[in-house]
Amino acid sequence: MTVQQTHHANEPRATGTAVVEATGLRKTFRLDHREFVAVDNVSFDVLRGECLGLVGESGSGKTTVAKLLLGIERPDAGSITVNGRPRDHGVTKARERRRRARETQIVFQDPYTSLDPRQSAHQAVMEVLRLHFGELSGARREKRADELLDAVGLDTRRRHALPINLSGGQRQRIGIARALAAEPDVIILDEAVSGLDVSIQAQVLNLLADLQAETGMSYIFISHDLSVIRQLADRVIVMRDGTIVERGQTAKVFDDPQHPYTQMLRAAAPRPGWRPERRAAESRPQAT
Amino acid sequence: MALLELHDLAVSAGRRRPLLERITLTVDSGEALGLVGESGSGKSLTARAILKVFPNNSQVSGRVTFDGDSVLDMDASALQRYRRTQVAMIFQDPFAAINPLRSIGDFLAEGLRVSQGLNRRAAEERAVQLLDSVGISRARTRLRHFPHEFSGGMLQRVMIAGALGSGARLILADEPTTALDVSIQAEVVLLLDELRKENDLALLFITHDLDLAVAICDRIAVMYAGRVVEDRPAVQLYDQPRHPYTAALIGCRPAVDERVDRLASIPGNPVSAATAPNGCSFNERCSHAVDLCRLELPDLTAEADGRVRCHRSVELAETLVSGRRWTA
Repeated sequence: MTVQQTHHANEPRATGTAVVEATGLRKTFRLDHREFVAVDNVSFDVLRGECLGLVGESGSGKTTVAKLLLGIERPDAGSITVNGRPRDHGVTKARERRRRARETQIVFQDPYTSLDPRQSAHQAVMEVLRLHFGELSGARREKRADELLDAVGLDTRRRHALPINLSGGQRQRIGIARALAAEPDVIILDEAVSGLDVSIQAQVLNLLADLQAETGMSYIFISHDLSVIRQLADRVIVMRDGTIVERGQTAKVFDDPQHPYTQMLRAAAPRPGWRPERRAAESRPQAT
Repeated sequence: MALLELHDLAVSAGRRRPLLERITLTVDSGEALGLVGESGSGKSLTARAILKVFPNNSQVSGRVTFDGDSVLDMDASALQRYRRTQVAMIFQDPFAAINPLRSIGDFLAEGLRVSQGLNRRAAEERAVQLLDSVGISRARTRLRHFPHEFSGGMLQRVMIAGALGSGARLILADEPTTALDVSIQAEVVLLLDELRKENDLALLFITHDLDLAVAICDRIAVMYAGRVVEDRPAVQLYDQPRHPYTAALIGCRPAVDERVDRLASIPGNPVSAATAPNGCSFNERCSHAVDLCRLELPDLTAEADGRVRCHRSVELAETLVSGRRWTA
């Protein structure tokens, strides 16, 4: 797999067709006999080749949205279609599950707990290839695994090491290679760069941009970090307490936020010249 | 003489694997020093060394001096007094740093009784004042609550209240806002900043986030592979970095107000002191490295406004840019 830079900043990469369409999603959980609304009336679409950012704080419902898209949770109301096919629930046939895995993949936040500790990067990728591309010869799959691991920058020595001997950034690259191996239409990245060192975070963000430019995949990039959303996402959805409070082109939403919550998030993000400000509602009494 | 002084502090573990190498730092009363670095840089180890907490079987050399007293030479009772009444540590995850089975009131009162010798009644009154001063309303009711009834941001305020109550003159804050939401982060760093100024406290603020450090620190020491590589006034360090690592660290962070075509990135992975190459620890990842950098470890050299550990800092002074400026 060769990796080329084919797009430029702020130039829309997406084409017009929607890969994912979510309409009127609602999800409630029961907690101590009380009903808790995690996601309420959430609708959005993801265009082919686009990166859609999902930003919000803890409890905003962004991870629940990811689980609904993957089918880990079942919505109480609303519908999800991927490639125009509705994602009905209760389907357990292996063939259907495999087909869905070819459509959506996920990369988790914590590369320490999302990998099998007994499996090297090479084995993890080969397992996915065997599952989805069983018709290819062993040699072809080996070649494809090498290409994928090359693309995410894992050298020969590291691709045969167990996760325990790898750094957080290297493990996250395995997670990305494993997701890519299924050649999905959409990859959901749930806080996928949040636990990484700053210098490694930049490498992984560049890698994600390169891979998207080359393959035309879509991303749903979930993060609490406005800066990484700004760098990667074409459009952004701002969530709070389970609902969407603002949406639009990332540049427009961040440069000219309309909703008070988005304005607050934007003001709270450290940046050059930043001074932390007190929010009026929770002021601290002055020392007497 | 500054309140806290580290002089040539070196720590190595089993078979002399180096962890920290010749750390020399000072923090004075009323001053905030940011300690910034990536994994393995030794920033948390440095904070623990200030409390005379070291990994098992480690060899330690150099000095740690607090208000003129040598911390490494303290006997058990002096060390206990020092840890209870002079220095307080605030950790990344407040839920892991507090006993979940005891109420907030018990937590604060115990600290006040051992550090200030207050009786139960006086300790409770003081605990109410402390919660008030960190912006927790209905303080008297809150004393009866347990940690799980608090949010992360509120519990971190409780930890700060505990630090204040002990009468500590030095606060060691180790990534105190990393586990918090951004809006809460702003409030907690503001609180630390205000309390530091009001009470003339020394603050050692450990973080991986340079933007955050510059916002509340007077000075910043950047660490790499167990060594300090640059120690200068915060805004000057940000606007005109003198070490290539500092410049790269500022430049590779995405900005909230701008999307760039491609992020500047530092090749390779962060290394620890034990795995650092010969010569300058950063030479394998540095775009300015020359032969000398691979052969000889540069000294931490005094400059006009601080210290820099780079062979080429003088000749690079004009060319080193991070692409960002703190001051417009």
